[in-house]
Amino acid sequence: MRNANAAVLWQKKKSQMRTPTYWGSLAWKIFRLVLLIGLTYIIVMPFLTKLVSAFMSDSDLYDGMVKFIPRSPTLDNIRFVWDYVEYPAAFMRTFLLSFACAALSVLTACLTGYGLACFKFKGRGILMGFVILTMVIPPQTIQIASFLKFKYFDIFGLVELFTGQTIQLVNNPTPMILLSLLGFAMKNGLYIFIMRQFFTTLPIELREAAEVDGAGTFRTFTQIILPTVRPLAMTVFLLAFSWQWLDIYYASTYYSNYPVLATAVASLSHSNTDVFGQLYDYTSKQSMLINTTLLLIILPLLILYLVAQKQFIQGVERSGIVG
Amino acid sequence: MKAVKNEKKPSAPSSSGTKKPSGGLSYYKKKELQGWWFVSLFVIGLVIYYLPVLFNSIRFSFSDLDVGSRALQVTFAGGKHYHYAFLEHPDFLKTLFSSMSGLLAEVLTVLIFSLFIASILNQRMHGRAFFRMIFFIPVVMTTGIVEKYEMGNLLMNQMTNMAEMGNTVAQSSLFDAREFLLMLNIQDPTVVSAVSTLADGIYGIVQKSGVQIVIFLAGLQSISPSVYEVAKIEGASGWETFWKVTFPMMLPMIFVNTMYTIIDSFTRSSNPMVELIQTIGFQNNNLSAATAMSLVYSIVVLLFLGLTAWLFSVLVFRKEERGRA
Repeated sequence: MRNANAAVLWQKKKSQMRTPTYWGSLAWKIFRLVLLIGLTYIIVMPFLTKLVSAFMSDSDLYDGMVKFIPRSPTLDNIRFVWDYVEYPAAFMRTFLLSFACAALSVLTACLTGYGLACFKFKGRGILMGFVILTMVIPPQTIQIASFLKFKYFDIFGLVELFTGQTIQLVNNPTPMILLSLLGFAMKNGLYIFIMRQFFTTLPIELREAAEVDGAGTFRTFTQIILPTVRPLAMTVFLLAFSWQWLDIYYASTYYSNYPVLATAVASLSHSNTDVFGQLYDYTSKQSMLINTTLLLIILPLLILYLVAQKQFIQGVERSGIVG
Repeated sequence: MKAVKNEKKPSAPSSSGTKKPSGGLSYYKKKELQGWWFVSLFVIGLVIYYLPVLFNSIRFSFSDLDVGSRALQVTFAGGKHYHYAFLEHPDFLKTLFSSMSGLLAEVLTVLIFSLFIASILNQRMHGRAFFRMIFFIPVVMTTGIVEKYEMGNLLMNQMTNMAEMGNTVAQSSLFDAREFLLMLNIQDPTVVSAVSTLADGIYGIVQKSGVQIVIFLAGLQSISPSVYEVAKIEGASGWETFWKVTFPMMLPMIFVNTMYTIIDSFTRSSNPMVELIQTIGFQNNNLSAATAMSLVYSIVVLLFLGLTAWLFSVLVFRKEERGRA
């Protein structure tokens, strides 16, 4: 019986193979695989040097023959960085901050994007212009004014009027949280822009149908609109999370007292010989340790992306749109 | 705050369609107010944070700053710094023009490449999750702390020097096309240089397309599978499906990515103008002049973006609407 089945299958396969589309799609699959592997090679190579240098011993560092495979692999670098950075604690701090900022950024981007895309009101174009403007003007340009704003935080002088002094918000991550909530943190303009563009593609019938059925605007938003935006919101979340995770600019400006993983790399690069002991050429050792730290920073992000991108696919099937 | 102000203004709704009286507000008035509710967080941020900060930055560009003392000293200096930028600084205008070179080519290559890769990564295949993760690496490698230390990565330079590689881009990619060609016994210099330029070019494009690929991928995943089913039942080929279904539905994301690519090209730290502003601000310690130059530069970038948005609205979106009607 099994043989008969196999024969039928083989016949089917053979008849498939006669069609030109079969060979076409096979050629496409091979081309696709070759292309992806080639690009993977290009992307991964610089990353691989980091991976390798994390396991190198000092003698490998000065050995001209060692290129990719360390002669005497060691965990010393990782152990040193783990202790120096206080990795678990710094990891938790970075994770909490990145998670909070990313979640708030996504929330604000969804709300603002929906408002800009699906409602007609005066000044909408100007608001959109400001969204673009926040993307164009680099944070460094407004750095001093922005720092002063948070150093002496006040809303139109009202706080000073009632309490006699302004609020000091720097030296802790409050500015980051606040800026994420209001949509002015790192690259938030991009997130709002992405969301707005997505919402313009939603057929207007989707909202009208919900409203005819008696759902209010906010119920329409939470129950009809939000499920359709899931893959995009997930992507924006991952981008926001990664950028906050790797950020050093805001970290050094606003919250140097709250050491995150990126700050550790900066401090490692500033420290002098007392960290590295009596080394003949401490800069190579230093850059090796920096590479190890960068690896410990990047790897969790890649793992997160690998896990989270499974969520992408589920979003579409739940949505209520049929073209 | 702004919402309330806007509400009080007696502005007539543009079209005189059906009006439902509810709560004293017309249907359109109510919709308008709801729109303000959705953007309220951003508007609050604009009013209490961004506008004052922007205003102060512009004020600083017209003043002399003294950061050395305990409190910041601001003295009005007129258009001195703008005068310096345009008329006195030897390289400002030259750098401004050189920062735009290759913009069009970059935008086109990055857009086509990232849409192509995103379409591939959206197809069903083995190891898709793995490849998607690989294409996320450029996003990580070009931001924040990684970008900062990627530039002068001592160890890697040391290693690449040992392998005696060519120019800087090839060094960072470690993609040694030359060695590979030597292995194949090809020594014709034109072929060698063409191939290694191509390899370097690909590495550059991959690095610049990271975010765009991720955005396109999200856009592609937002298209409902049933649309493709319909296309398949109707007998559309893959080519037709791409141009008649995928491409039109991706237009809004193409617009985002075009704008983002332009902004990224102008503001990445390897851009000559960004380097010049950095030098003036931090090495020469002339923060006001750096702010002035940066603001002028931002206006130039905005002009480019405005032009792009206009082109899109005239050439693409208008056509789309006509197509639908």
